[in-house]
Amino acid sequence: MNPPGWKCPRRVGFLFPHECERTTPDGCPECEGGRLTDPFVQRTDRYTYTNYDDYSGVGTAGLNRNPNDFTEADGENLVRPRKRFEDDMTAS
Amino acid sequence: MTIDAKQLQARRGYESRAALGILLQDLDQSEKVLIEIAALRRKIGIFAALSALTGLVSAVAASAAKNSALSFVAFVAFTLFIVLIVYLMVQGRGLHKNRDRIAIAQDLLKTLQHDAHARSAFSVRLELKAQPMLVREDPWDARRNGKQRLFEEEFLSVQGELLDGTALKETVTELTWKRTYTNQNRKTKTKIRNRYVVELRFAYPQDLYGDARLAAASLQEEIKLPSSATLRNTRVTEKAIVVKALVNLKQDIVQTSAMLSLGGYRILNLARRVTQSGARGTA
Amino acid sequence: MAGDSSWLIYALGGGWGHLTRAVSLAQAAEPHHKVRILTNSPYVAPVWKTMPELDLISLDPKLDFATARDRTIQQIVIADAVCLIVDTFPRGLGGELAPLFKSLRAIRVLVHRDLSPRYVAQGGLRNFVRSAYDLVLIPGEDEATAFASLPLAVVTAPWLVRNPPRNRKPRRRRRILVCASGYANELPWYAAVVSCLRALDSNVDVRCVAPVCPPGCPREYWVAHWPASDLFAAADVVIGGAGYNTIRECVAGQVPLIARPWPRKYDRQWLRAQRAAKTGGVTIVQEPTEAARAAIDQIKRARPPQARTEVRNGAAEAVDIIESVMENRVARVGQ
Repeated sequence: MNPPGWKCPRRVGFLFPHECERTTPDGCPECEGGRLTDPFVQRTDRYTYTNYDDYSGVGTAGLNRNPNDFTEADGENLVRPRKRFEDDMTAS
Repeated sequence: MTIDAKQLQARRGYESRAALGILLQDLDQSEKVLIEIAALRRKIGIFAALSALTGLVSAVAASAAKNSALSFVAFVAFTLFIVLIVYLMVQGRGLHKNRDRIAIAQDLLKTLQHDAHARSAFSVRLELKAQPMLVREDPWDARRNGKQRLFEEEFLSVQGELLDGTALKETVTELTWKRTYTNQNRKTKTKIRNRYVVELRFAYPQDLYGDARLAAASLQEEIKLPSSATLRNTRVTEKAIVVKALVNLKQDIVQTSAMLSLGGYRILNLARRVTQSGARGTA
Repeated sequence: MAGDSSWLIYALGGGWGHLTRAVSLAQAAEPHHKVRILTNSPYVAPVWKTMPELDLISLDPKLDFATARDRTIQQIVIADAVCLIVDTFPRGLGGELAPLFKSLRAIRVLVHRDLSPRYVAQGGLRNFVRSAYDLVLIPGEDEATAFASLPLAVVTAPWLVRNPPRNRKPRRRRRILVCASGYANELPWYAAVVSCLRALDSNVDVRCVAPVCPPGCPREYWVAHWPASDLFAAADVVIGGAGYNTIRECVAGQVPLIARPWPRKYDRQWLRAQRAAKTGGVTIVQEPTEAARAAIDQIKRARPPQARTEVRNGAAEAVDIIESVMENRVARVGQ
């Protein structure tokens, strides 16, 4: 049983990763009821884009960093729910 | 929105702005209406054929028996036949011929559902009655009295905003090549070939993706497509990504659209990673 | 009557952009209207010091979310204003305005600063603004687009807390002004800019205007003054963020700006800086060394013009527009 206010930390999406709005993985077609840890990466319906989220082999010259390194944003998407709007009275 | 035959007929298709779920329901309803129209047309066709047959038989019998009652029956039957044929020519004609366009629209919208808010409004315009526009007409020298004409019809347009703030615009255009010529038997022959242009424009938010040109240049990857499609254009600016492909087979339109989108977002997802590492904290 | 009515300006939000804009409007509205400003900016003290006549309700920025929401609602209800002016956030920063509007009779005006399109889409804000507001004011031609096409939207000239002086103060030594607005955790960046400037050219006159001395900035370079735009007339170039007020005030004062866009939850500083850079006078940078070099290059190239062209302060225009909406409402009720 999930605690009140629990939100699924998995990332979903077909074109780009975004947070999942579900409050339980039960019956979820994206993560197959909680079986998949990263539904965004593990999709199998992207035709010949089989390693859609993999950028190994991308030349990093001109970029400030290696895109294959995880960023804070990737970590947030996988582990913690991302910040929502209207939750901070000191934002701008 | 309640869809009925009159509406579809008057608009020559479907046009609305609503959440994706509502649009899909409307398209579903539109398809059911077209199926009903097709079934009605079949019944009317059968009835028209029976009227014609009755008229013919009555006319022959009336002529043989010199019976005025049978002549009257023949007259009524032929009149009914003409009325029914005119009805078939005017009502719903052409609409149901392009019923498969509804399935294309539905499949495109279903793909968008993964990355759009359930309440986000999308605009859809779907032409069901073919209204191709003549774009070019040239002689076709390879054949006697040869002429070739190119027609174009943008039959589907979808616009809306995805969850990441990207404004999406997608169009599907049918190109029709019609070639006419006179063969050795002095009969006029026509050859028709259809192709489809799928074009997508992603106007992306710069606070999230920065300038995608750098990521596009680093990725150096051509967009993957089904075998029946060829990439016609990829343009990346600091505001938008535009991708266009020519598809030979109608059944590959949806897959082409999805793969063009995936190709565009391969660039954007890379741009996002790079931008987010540069900025301290995300907006 | 539109005159002598009470207005409440909801100016919550981090930094001091919302507060500064609210003060611009309040100055233009007084003395005809009694204006109260509700803010939770951490920088209220310098504003009060400069303008003690302002009616400012200051909520503690350290309040927890739920308490801040409750206190905000309380203050709006207590004020019982004839006109409620909401800066930037149509539903309130915590979504608290949406349910409140059902029982609020005040005329509602939205000051439309740039807003994240993701938030606009997710919150269904276009429909909300269309139904909940009487007027949308856009303080600057290209400031915001989300609600610009609504029939209730009106664009004004940018709002300035001070009208820039017609003539610049002549100085022998060229001055670089580092304007540290924004969040407290961004102050070290500005201190690093001051260090870079001193290292590049020890002869240049540098001042850093900030509410507190940025950590690492020598005290002799620090100036505490609000509004910082008072110091622009004497500067040859300004180094600052890319928030609304910094950019608009530098453009109005015709002072070159070296802008460092900061990431914000709702504001697209990067986009505002790009737009301003296209019209000239603004250079976008990221690192302190980049900012310092750009500023030194700027002062070597040219001096800003001695006489400035007349500038329209959109805040006065905004007051006129609000008054006419109020008069129309009164006329409709009277019919």
